[in-house]
Amino acid sequence: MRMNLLSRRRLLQSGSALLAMVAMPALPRAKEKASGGRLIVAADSEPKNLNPAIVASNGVFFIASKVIEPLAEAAFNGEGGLARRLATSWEGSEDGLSVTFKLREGVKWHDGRAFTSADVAYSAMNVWKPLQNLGRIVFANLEAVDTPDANTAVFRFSRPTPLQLIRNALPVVSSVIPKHVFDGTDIASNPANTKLIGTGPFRFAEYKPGEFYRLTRNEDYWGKGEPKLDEIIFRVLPDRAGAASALEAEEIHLAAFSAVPLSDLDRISKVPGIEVISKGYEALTYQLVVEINHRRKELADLKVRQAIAHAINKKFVIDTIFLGHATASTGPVPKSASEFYDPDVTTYPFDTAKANALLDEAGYAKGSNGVRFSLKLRPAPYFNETKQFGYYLRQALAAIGIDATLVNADAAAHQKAVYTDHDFDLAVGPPVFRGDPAISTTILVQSGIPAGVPFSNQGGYENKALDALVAKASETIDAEARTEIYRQFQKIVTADLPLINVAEWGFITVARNTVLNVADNPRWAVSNWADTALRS
Amino acid sequence: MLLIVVVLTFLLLQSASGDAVDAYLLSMGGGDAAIAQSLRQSYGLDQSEIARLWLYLSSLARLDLGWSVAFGRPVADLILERLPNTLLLMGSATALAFGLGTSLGIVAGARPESTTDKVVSALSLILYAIPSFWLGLVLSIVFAVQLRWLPSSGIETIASGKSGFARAADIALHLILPVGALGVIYMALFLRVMRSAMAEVWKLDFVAFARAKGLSRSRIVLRHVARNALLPLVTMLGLQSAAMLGGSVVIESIFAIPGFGRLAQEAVTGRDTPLLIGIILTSALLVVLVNLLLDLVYALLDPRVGAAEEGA
Amino acid sequence: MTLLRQTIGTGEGAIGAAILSLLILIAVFASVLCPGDPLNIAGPPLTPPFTQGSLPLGTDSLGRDLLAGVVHGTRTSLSVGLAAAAAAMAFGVCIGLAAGFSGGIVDEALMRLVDAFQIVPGFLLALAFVSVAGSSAHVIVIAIALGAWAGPARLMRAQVLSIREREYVAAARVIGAGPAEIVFKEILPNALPPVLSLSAIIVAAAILTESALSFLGLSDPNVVTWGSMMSEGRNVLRSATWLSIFPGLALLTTVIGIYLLGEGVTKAIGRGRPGS
Repeated sequence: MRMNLLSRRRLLQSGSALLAMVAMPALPRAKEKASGGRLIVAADSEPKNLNPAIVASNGVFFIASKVIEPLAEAAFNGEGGLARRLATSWEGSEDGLSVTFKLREGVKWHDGRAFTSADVAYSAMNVWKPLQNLGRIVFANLEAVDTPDANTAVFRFSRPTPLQLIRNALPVVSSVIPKHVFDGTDIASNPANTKLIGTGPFRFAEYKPGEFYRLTRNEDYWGKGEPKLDEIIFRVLPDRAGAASALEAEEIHLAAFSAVPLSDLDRISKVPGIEVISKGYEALTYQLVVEINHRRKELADLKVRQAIAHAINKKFVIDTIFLGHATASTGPVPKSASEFYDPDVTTYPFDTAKANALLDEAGYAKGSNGVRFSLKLRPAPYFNETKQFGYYLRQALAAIGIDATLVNADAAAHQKAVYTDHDFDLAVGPPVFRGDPAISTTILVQSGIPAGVPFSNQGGYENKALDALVAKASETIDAEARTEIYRQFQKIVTADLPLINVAEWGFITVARNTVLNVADNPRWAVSNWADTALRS
Repeated sequence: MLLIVVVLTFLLLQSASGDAVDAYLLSMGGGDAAIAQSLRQSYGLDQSEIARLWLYLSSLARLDLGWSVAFGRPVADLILERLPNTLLLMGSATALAFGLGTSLGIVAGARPESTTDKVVSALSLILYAIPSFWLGLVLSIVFAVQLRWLPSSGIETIASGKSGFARAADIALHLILPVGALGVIYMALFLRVMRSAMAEVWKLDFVAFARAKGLSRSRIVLRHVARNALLPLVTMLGLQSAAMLGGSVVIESIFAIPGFGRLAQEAVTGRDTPLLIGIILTSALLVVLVNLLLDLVYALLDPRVGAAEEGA
Repeated sequence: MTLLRQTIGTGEGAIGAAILSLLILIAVFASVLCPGDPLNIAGPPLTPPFTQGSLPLGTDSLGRDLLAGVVHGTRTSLSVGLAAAAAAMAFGVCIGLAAGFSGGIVDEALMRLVDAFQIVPGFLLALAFVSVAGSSAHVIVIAIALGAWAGPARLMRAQVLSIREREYVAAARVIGAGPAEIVFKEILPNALPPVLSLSAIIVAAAILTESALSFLGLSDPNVVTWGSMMSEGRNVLRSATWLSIFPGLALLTTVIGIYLLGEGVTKAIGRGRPGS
């Protein structure tokens, strides 16, 4: 996996630069010295269900990934882009009907019981497949998990399932939870969903709602010499200005997921002792997408969609809204996913004249007030950038004679309006690319998805050829052939524009320079932090 | 009265776009229609509105505040957990606003239309006109980030292991900025009411009488004028307690204090009807309680009040 | 008219009236002063103030003209404040009048409703209402009014109760005036002035409430208000302070202006009827 090249001059590029920084004054954590110390991190949300086996979202992983581990984690240099965690090897059968995992030996749960293949089988069959938001897709055809011995788990599928997909999905979908805690209980309401029990380098110690989560060192961790830290504290800071202030006041060490607003990075990067790091999100690419409701007759016309694509100045979006911390998109697969990315697709350079011509051609002439037709535009409220892009898009559309009215709604209302009630013409959404197009990307354009599924095609778009391609990919075992299908997929999506991909971005971490080994894997913020340390 | 509050809040959230399950699925990062359906069933959200309102009211009659969908915990627990922080913040801010407001009001009202009066009044007006979030942010930048005198956020040092007096001191230190930001804004209101009430009292006969008796000015100001001017202030304190509870939403968010304001915001974004009703009900009860207490105070300050309660 | 003259006669009233007239002029002529949509991108982002002639106050993080924002914001912020106060006043006066004049069970019921609204924190109510109904300008106006009508209603009722026993009302009754006539000709004009003097503080509070709602992300994205400008500026509060300073100053001036005018009116009323 290639690192994305979005960092700016001032941003830290390598760990060595970090080491070269001058030492900073002692922190208020003073009390414990010697072995590792306490790392304090800003958290902006408090997930109600913290179990990553059920809720595979970044907000949950950010905290839970230190306690509960997946079978494998993403890595910059590992084989196939993976590092071993609870599994030490994985092998697919020729027919694509089974995958065999060898599991790590001598691993203990935080309550002292031994970790075995039974836990993996239980997690897969009882949680990932039936309950998890992403596992439902990846393990749709999982029939059974055989456990010939305590350290072997054989996943058996009813229909051929590509190993490539399983491999790419492992870091996200394969968090293993203890069978002895969950078996026989109502999984959804088990107290262990918030008071986590895992095998990871840190134990879940304490949660004070509205204040903090506290994780403590797991002395029995299987990794030699790990973890390095004694404690991690996730401090809840709901206000966006809070993280930057707390970093500067030396009350916290680190703020991930762009908790420090992009517009404040330039200033904070000049504060002594603070580093701005753009690495570590390569496998967590977010995409800025214009979702289109094809039920509107104007938008059902390809020429209109092309016109809208031509009306968007991606350079402005990257430079002004993302302040350079993003890349322009060419299609539904981001550049950072080099395994699948195909640059050879239809592109839509910024060209207002051409956009106007296309709209004229489509038969939507400008009225006497310069307006061709009016639209309802709903920018998703989740990120500052999606809202700002909403402002920009309104103006870009005005330039080609489309009058857009912005509708602001909070998260729940936006969700309902777009994904259940289809009460939108255009929407701005931030879907996530999760390492393989089959996990959460094809669902954005596939037809036949029932109403109410968030982050899916709810725009009424239907393309039989595209649907067939997606179906074919799901059963293609050969990685190369499967990759080729997804290249085809990108060509069709960019030509027919079921949605418009505008930009793709990773997040920014801002940390004090005493924190060591930051961003050393492509999912760093949501990985286990076993080697993260504090310089004393 | 409280019943009206409950029913209105319930209806308000019912008319919302998106329900608790939508919000919950969103926090999960997605899910499908089948999950949504089963969740709605388990929380009883698939029943009719009237049935649910009835169900809620009957459980409320048994003093059961219900179950929070968003937090997966009983509403009463959540409220009790946050109540001390809110009381602490509100209590200190009110004390600050009232104490500072009255004393400055006395200073200003002692010599109406004097330079001191004009300067104090103008300054208080400016403080009142600054949006609370801006004041909060600026205070935090100046005192926590630049000067580093005070912590920037939180209610106490995290997992400090402090107890007893040290912990109390730690909490007090954390509360200085939020209490300051909240108190200063409401201070202006008290100051202005105090000042104009004093101006009214100056005109009354007994003041002229006291003057004629040759009492010193400061004695007149404190014993006669200020004391009588305090009465409308006490009335206002009761009315302002509701406003201040509302104003704390913004301050709690900026200073990361886990109190009612933030809980209410989370309840709204999570479409958590029982939780929001619980919060509003508790706040309303608090306000009623404060007003009852103030009636007592009023009676102490002014012996005339007692038998004949005013209708208005 | 006499009231106006008397108001301006007080120092506060004169300053307040001057500030407000200026603001109203700016609001009315906003489109002349700064033509075009203030939400349009006008230059490079984050241009500092006083560096470019065409953009005297600089630009925000998207490159929108700050001066245009402040000028057009005058129109929207004042409209939101005035509309919310007018709505609260109208509703409050009607309820207060109805309660005070009818008495009995109607009075009892209406006053319990007033109580209910007075003990609920107004901002919580506004927050819930806007989150639920969507953040468009008219929803924000209603939300603010919801939290503000109870005060005028209570005062109106008290006024009605005291006035309806006065001699001239009794006299009108004797002449045979109908209830409607008595309410609108005798009671309302006399009861209204003290209630109206509350409106200044309601307008000021409404403008501040709008800014607090903007801070929580609940503003109408299709118009520009001072509150929304300030809350957008807070992300760069340290590096581009001017983004929140200019709208902040405008807001400050307005609130002070309205407040002073209100004080002036109160004073003038006080002078007009000694002893009341």
